[in-house]
Amino acid sequence: MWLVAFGLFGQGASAQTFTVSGQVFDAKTHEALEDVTLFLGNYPSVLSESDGSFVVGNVAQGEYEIRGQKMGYELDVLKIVVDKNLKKVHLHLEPQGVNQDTVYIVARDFLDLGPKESTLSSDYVDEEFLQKNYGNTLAQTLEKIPGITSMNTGVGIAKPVIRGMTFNRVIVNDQGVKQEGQQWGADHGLEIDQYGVERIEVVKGPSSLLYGSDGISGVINILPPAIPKAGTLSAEAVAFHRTNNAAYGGSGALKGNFRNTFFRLRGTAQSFGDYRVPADTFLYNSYVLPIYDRALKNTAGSEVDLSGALGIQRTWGYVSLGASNFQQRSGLFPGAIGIPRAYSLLSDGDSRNIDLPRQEVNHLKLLLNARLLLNDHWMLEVDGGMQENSRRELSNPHNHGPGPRTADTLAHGLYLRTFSGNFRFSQTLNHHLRLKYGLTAQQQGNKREGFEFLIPDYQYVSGGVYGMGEYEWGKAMTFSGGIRFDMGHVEVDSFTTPIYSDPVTIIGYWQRTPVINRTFQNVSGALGWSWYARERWNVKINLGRAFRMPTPPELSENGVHHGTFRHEQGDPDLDPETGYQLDVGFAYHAPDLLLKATPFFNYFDNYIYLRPSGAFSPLPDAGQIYQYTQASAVHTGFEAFAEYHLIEPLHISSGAQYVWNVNMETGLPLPFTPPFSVSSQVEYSLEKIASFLPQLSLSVEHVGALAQNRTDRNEKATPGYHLFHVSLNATLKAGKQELMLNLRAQNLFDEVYMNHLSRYRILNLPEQGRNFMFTLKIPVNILK
Amino acid sequence: MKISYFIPIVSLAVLLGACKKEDTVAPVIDAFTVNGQAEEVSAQAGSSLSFAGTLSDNENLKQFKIDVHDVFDGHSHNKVQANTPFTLATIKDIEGTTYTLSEIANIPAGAAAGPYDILLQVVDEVGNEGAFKEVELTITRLDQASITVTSHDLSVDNSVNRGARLTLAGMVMDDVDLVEVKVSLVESADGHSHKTGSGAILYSHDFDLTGSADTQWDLAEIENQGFPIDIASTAEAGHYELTLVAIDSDGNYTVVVGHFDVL
Repeated sequence: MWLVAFGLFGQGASAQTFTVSGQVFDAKTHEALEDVTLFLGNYPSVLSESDGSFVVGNVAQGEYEIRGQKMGYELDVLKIVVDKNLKKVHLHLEPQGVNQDTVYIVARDFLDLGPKESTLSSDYVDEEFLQKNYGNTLAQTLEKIPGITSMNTGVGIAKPVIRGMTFNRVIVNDQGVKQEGQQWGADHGLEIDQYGVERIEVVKGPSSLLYGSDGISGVINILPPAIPKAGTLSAEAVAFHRTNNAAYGGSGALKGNFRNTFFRLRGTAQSFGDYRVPADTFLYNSYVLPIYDRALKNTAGSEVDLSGALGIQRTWGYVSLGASNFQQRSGLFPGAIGIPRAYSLLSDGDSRNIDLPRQEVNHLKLLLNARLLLNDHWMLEVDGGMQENSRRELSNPHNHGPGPRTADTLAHGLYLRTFSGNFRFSQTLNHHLRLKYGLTAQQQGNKREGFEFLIPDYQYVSGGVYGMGEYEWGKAMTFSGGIRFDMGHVEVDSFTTPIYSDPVTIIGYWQRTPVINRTFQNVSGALGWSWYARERWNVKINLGRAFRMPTPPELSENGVHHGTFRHEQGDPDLDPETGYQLDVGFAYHAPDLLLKATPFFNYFDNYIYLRPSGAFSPLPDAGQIYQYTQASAVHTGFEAFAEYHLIEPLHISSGAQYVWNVNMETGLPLPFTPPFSVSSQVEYSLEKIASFLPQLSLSVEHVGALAQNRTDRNEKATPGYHLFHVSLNATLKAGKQELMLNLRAQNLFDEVYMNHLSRYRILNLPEQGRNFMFTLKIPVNILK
Repeated sequence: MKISYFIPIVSLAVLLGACKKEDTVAPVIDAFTVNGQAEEVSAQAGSSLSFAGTLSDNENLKQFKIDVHDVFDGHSHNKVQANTPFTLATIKDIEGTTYTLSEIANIPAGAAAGPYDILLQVVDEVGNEGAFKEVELTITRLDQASITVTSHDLSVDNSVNRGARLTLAGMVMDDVDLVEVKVSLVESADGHSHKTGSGAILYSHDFDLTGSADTQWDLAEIENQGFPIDIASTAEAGHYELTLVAIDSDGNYTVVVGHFDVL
C-alpha cells in the first residue's frame, strides 16, 4: 500500500518508443519479489523474474500508471513519465496481514485497482490454508473461519452456513457464477470438488448490492485459479486417505501456458466406506437402537470430478472457457428415512456398498470468464455459466396408502438447469475513486420425477442492475455506497396426485400445488466506511438493505421431506424477504498481533421460515404440516479473532463465533442456530530445518462449543462439547523435487458429540469419531 | 464498543421475554393400547381394532393421528393381488388439556395378512409435537400360508453351538401359489423386542419360488438347495432370532419367529 520510489537510472530507448525496466521488492524484507504481475497502461502485463526485475518494451512516450500485483501483497501503483529521462522503476509491495503466514492471506481480484481498502470485511483463504485443513468436504474445510459452520448429512454431504444462515441465504459463487443446485434442502450438499479450489474469499455481511437476491448472510467466492505463468507446464498429484471411513482418493492436475494461451485440467476421485461413531446405540423416541460395529450403515459414498479450462491472456486482459462435472453417490443412514427401526439398521455386512436410500448427484457446469481492459480507465468483467444439476434420491417405496405400489426406487428426481450471465464494468477515475456498474441475469428451469412429490416443475427468470462507488479519502478513509434494482419472475406448474381407495381405483385428485405466477422487484442499497484511526487500527461500518426473493420451494413445496417426517407446505403469496443489516468490523494489526472483531445486527421485516401448523399431514405416516410463513426477526452476533506471534515460529490464534436470533412473531429462536464456539490453535512452525526438510509445522487445535439451548419449537437442544485436533505439516525436498505431507488427527479423543446443524441430529446420532487423515501432494514442474 | 452494541439486544430480549411466554411444552401420550395391547397385537382380517389411550398437554391439545401401514419390507409387486395391504390414516381434532382416546377401525376382510405398524402422534395448538407411540400389529387370515416347524420347537428358547448346523424340519403350506420364503437368523439384545438388538446377521437367505406353482415348501429345501444354516465357529455367542417369512401370490405374509441361544 505504501509506495517508495528509489534511485532512478536513465534508460532511454529509440526516438519514438522506450523500454521501461525496473525491479519489485517486498517492502518489509526488501527481498526481490518474483512473479509479480505488472501492468503498464494497457500494454501486455509482464511477470517479474526471480531477481524481481521486469521489462516492458516498445512503450510510447507519455504518462502512465504502473501497477504491481501479487497474491498476499497490497497492490502498488506508481505514476511514471515515459520519455528519454525515464529511470529504472522500483516498486515495493507491502505484505498483507500481520505476516504472510497468517491464514487470512488476501488474494486480490486479478485486475483490481483503485481504492485498496474494501469497506466490507472479508476473509481470504489460499491453497496453503486449504491443504492444511482439508476436511471431508469443502464446507467442512471452511469451518475453521470464524462465522462459518456447516450443515452436514453424515460425512459426504455438507453445505456452508454463514452466521447461522444457510439454504438460499448463502451464495456460493464458483468463478463468478452462482452455484445453483437445489440449495434449499438440508441434505443437499455443495457440489464442488474441493481439490480444484485454490483461493476463496468469504464475505460475511450485507452482500445484496453486488450479489443480488440470496446471499443475505454472506457470500463464498471461489476465485478463479491463478493463470499459469507463460512458458510453464506443471502437474500436481494429490493422494489422500482417511481412516474413520476408510476413504481413499486422489486428485491430479495439469496446467500450462504457451505464448499466453493457458489451460488447466483436473480429475479427482474418491471412495469412502461407512463412517464410524464412538457409540454402540442411539436413542430415538425412547427406543434404544443399535449402531452395529459402531459404523453407520450405508453411509458410504463415492465421488468423481473432472474439470478443465482453456484461455488466452493478451494485452487486453483474458478470456477463459471452462467445464466441470461433479458426480457423487452417497448412501444415507436408513434410520434417517422414515422412523428408524431396528430391523432396518441391521448390518448389511458391507461397509462400502451404497445401497438404498441414497443420493445420486451430478452437477455439470460450463463457464466463460473474461476480464477485458477496455482502456486505461474501463474494465469489463464477464462471467457466464450454464449449469445442469441432477439430483436423484432413491429409496424403497414405503407406506403409500391404498394406492398402487411402485417397484421403482426413484423417490425424487430433480433436474435444474440454470443459465447465468454477470457483467461488471469497473471505471477507475483515478486511484482514489472507482465506480462499478453491473448487470446480472439468470434463467432457471426445474423438472421433477419420482414417486414422491415435493416441488413441481418451474421456470424462474431474474435479473438486476447496480451501480456502486468506492472513494478513498486521504490515506485513512474509504467510503463505498451503491444502489441496486432487482426483478424476478417465477412460473410454477401445478401438480396433482390421484387419490386411491384401493390399488387400482382412483376416487379423486389432490392438487398439491396450483399454478403460481409471481413477479418480484426490489430496490436495495448499501453504504460502507473504513477508517484507519491509527496506522494499526481499522474500523469498518457497513449498512445495507438486504433482500431475497422467495424461492420456488418456499412458494410451492407440498410434501414430506425425506426423513424429517415433516410435511412442508409452501405459500404462493410470500413476499420477498427484506431487512436492514448493520455490520461492523474492528481490527488491530501489529507485527506480532492481530485482533479482529466483527459484530453484526440484522433486522428482517418478513423473514421466511417453516411454522408448525398444529395440523397433521393427510399423507400416510407423515407428521405435522409445516407451513412457510413470514415474520419479523432479529439476527445478531459477532465473530472475534486473535492471532499472536510470541516468537517467530510460534503462532497462537483463537476465533470465536456467536449468533443470537429471535422470531418476533413466536418469541422463539430461529432454527439451526449454531452454538457459541471458540476454536483455538497453537502452531509451531519451523523453516529450512535441513535441505531435505524446508518446512515443518505441528499444530494443536481445540474447538469448544457451548450447549445450544436456544431452539425453535420442536427443535432439540444440543449439549456442548470439546474437540481436539492435531496436525503435522511437512514439506520434504529431494533434489529439486518437493513433496508436501499433511497428517491430521481429527477428534483425537473420540469425543461423543452432536452437531446442532446435522441432518442426523434429530436421531440423536453422534458425529464422526476419531479420524486420521493423510494427504500427500507432489507438485511437478515439467517446463519452467 | 461491545457494551453499547449489546444494549439493544439485551433490552430487546428483556422486552420479548416480558411480553410473551411461549408454550414449548410438548403434549404427551400417557398410554396407548390397541385391543388392550401396548406392544404387539394380533387381529384377523375382517375384525376391528379398538384404539384406547390418554393424551395430555399443559395448554391445549389440537390433533392426534393414527397411522397403520404394513412393514412388508418393500418387496411389493405392482400387480393386483387378492389381498391388499391395510392402510389407515385417521386424523382427529381434539381440545383440552387431557383427552381420552377411543377409536374403532375395521380391518377390511380383504386385508393382506402380515406385519404392520400402528403409529399414534399428537400435536398441541401451537404445533408442539410429542413423542409418538407405536404398537406392532399382525393381521392374520385363515387362507394365508401356514408355517409348521416340527424341529426345533419354536415355542421355547432353543440353543445351538457355534460351528454346528441348525437344521429345520417342517412345512410351509398354502391354498395358493407360494412366491417366496425367507429365512434369517439375527442377533437380538433382549430376545423379544423388535426395537432393540445389536443386529449381527448370522444367516439370511431368500428362496424365490416364482415361476413354479407350489402350494407347499418343505423346510428341508433350505439344505437341499445348498443354503444350510451353518453357525460359524467365529460367531458371537448370544441371543438370536430365527425368522421365517412365507409370501403367497394373494399378497399375504406369514411370519414365524423362534429364539435361539448361540453357545
